Amino acid sequence: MYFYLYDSYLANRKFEKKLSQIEAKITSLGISGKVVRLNILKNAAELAKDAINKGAKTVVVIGNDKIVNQVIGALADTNVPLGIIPVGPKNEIAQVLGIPCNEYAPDVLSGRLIKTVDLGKVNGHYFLSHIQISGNKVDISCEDEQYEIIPSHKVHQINICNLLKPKIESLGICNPKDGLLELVTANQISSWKSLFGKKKLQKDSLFYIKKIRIKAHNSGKNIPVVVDGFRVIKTPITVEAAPSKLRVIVGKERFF
Amino acid sequence: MFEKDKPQSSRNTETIIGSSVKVKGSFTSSGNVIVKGEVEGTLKTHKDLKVEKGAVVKANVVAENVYLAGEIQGNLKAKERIRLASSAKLSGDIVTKLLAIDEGASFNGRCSMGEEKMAEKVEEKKAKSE
Repeated sequence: MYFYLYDSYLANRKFEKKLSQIEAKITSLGISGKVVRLNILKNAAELAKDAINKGAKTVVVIGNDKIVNQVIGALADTNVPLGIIPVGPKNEIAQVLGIPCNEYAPDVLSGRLIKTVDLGKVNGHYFLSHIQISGNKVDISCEDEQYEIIPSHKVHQINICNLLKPKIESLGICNPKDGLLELVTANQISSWKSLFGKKKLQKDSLFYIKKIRIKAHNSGKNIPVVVDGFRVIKTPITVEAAPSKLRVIVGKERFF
Repeated sequence: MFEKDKPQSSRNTETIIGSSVKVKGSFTSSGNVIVKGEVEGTLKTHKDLKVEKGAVVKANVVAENVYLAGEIQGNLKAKERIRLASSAKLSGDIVTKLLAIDEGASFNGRCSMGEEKMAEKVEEKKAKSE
């Protein structure tokens, strides 16, 4: 049984036509199922968990990266695969998974090409894409304190990536099936564009890690950490790779 | 027929220790390592190590092949080959099968070469005589 979860922003009339086309395609492919729309009262993760408890065989989110990141915690450690129908902007996860936008996505869904990907875990909660820390005033301890990474004043941003990498020059694509996380430090490139507020970052270091602990330097003020682009927590954090945790329906044009 | 364009990490987990960081402690990798910054402690990899010009490694190093253009203060052991570029500075002992030293490189230490077992025997003899 398919369970479709619509993000709340799709209630906007400008998405009406696209949604009709998507729904018509879903019906013609014979993959209809139960439909629930998110609103202020309903939490995506809880709805997904409920659906799984009631026997859903596939959970499909319709929306963008935000709703994808919200449901992964409910699907990790289950056999229920995640499907995505990307609509609107900010759909980088779907792009990496090889899922086309709008009415072309249900074809990938019905193809049921399922891959198991890694997740990351930060302070006990799963994340799919990446974690970002601005600045360099942190102590980084890796692999159960085997070694430390000490960033200099030149480091502008620290990222720990599983699936997506942030927009940093000379950075490639992550492999979400290698059981490892990538810790990337980036320096700011000085250019005339930075005068207009446009920062350009360039990769400086790249480490492949399984477990890492980050805390504020010299027991200073705790530093904000952005998880998957929308959730904000504070240091200290313990981040570890969680291999093969999420089953996801992917397309042939995926990046891995 | 055409190899799919895989992410680099699936082909080779190449660690880069950049010029803006320092690594302190016991660092071990299963892939290639490029050092542009500083390392202190021990550095081991099952694959190749490249220490770029300007990089400083204050550690005992073990790798398959080593290309040194920066500085190592510590012992250096390579399973196959070590090459010291013209800007290299090495203060420590070398154990390797093959060695190439470019003109201008600085090397202060002992050197044991040849097959791994022979080099280990020479090291053992020296350790006993000391």
